Formats: sequence, structure tokens, C-alpha cells
Amino acid sequence: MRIPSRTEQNISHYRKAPFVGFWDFALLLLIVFLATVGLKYYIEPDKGDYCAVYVDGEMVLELSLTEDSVTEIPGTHAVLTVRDGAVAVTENDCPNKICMKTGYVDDKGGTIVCAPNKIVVRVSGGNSYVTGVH
Amino acid sequence: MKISAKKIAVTALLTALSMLLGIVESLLPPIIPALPFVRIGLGNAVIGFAVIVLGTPYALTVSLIKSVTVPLIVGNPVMAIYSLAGGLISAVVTAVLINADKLSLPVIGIISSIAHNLSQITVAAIMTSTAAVFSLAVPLLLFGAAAGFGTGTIQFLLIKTLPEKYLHL
Repeated sequence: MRIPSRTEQNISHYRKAPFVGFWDFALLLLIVFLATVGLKYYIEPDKGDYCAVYVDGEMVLELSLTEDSVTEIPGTHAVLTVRDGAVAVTENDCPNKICMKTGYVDDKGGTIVCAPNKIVVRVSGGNSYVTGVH
Repeated sequence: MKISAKKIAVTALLTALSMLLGIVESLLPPIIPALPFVRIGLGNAVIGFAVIVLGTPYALTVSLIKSVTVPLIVGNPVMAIYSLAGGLISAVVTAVLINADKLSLPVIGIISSIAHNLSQITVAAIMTSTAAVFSLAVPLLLFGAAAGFGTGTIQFLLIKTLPEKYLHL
């Protein structure tokens, strides 16, 4: 029995091969994953200069991030602290304190959310085009 | 290794074809102005085809001749180094992947294109002695991967649809 040459093997293999097989799919997923991760380091979000605070969907407060301040959000027991161009929730009466664990946010489009009290703090600053992970 | 005259003749044909594609591509405006050597690698579709139909040594010959002569003909001799580095490395990668029989041609095209662009960027970094070139790497690699998918698909369609008698040389 003749052993087919390398080219004959290749020809018969690739004539029968599907367009995308199992390993192709896995590799493509890996590449897309790496590309997404790489893009995150490549595109740096811009810093915002003010934040808008919404309670239950309505804007109740606008804070500039350029000056340090400590403000209580009207209608709630939450306190926002602005320091070094970033804003964080420093006091709140919610059970899990996820909003406080978010820490300081300074990227355009960055948000801090308190679900139980329905508070949303969103940072913006003019023309933002890419916001990192959102 | 059997060297057949027929295969040598076909190698010459494919080399001419690949050179032609490379020259025509260079007439188009560059996709990224900062990196003018980034092209849609239509000539590389020939390389993969050559690996399957002719064999690795013949395909490497096609890539070698194409990488060296096209920049000279186009009138941009400096490009020869980039083209040689990228072309040879991507040809080797293509040959290894095709002989491995594990992946499909479009995906092999993507990987080869990424390898091609990475080696070109690396050569650029060495030539300019700065690492700043790598900052442009990300969009370049994405476009390159898409182009590689295109050339891989061309190879896939060729191998699938050409009548058997034309593929056996």
C-alpha cells in the first residue's frame, strides 16, 4: 500500500475539512478574549469633571469633581465625598454597602449604584467617547 | 525529496502571481498612514495554496522571491527587510499549521496574518530603536486578522472547488 505524500494528504484533508471546526472555534474565542483584554489597556478612559446624582430616576444633585467636598445626597442618608477629582460614597444606610465598596470613581461614564436606596451617581464631563468597560 | 520539473514550473507561475498581487496592492493607498507597509495580504493567499498543492519547500521559495522582488519593483527597497521578515515568518507559520491538519484554512490565515504583522512591527521597532511602534500594534493586528481571514477563505474556496485533477501535480 502506497503511503500518500504530504501534499496528497493535505489535498485530501483540506478538501474535506469544514469551514470552521472545533479547534478553530476555540482558538477564535481565545483570540477575541485576548483582543478584548488588550483593548482595555489600550483605550484609557478619560477623567470626568462632574457627576450627576439620581435618586429614583430623578436628578437631585450635581457635583463638580474639581473641588473637594463632602455632601449629603438630599432625600437619603448617603454621603458623597469628592477628593482628588474622584467621587465615592462614604456613608450609607444600605445593608450590603456595595456602593461604598465601589470606592472612588473618576472615569467618564463611571457609576456608583446603591440598589436598595435607588441612588445612581454617574460621572461625565463633556464629550466622552470610550468608557472602558460599560 | 523528489524534485519534479512540473512543480518547479508551477512554483514559478505562483511566484509571478503572488508578485503581481503584491504590486497591485501597493498601488492602493495605505490603510494606516503611519505604517505604510500594512497591506491586505492577497499575495499570501498564494502561499497557503502553494503549501497544500506543491509542498513546503516550494511555498517557502514563493514567499522568499516575492518578499524580495516586490519592494524592489515597487520602488521602495527599504520595505524589503520588513517584507522579508514578515513574509518568511508567516510562510513558516502557515506551512507548520497546514501540515498539522488541526485547524481550518481561514483560521490559519488569521494566525499567519497576526504573525506577519507582529514580525513587521518588531522589525520596525528594531529599525527605529523605539518601542513606541507597539502602541499602534492593536488596531493593526485587528485589521490584519480580518485580512488573514479573507485570504484564508480564498484558499479554502480554491481547495474545495477546484477539480481534483488540477490539484494533483
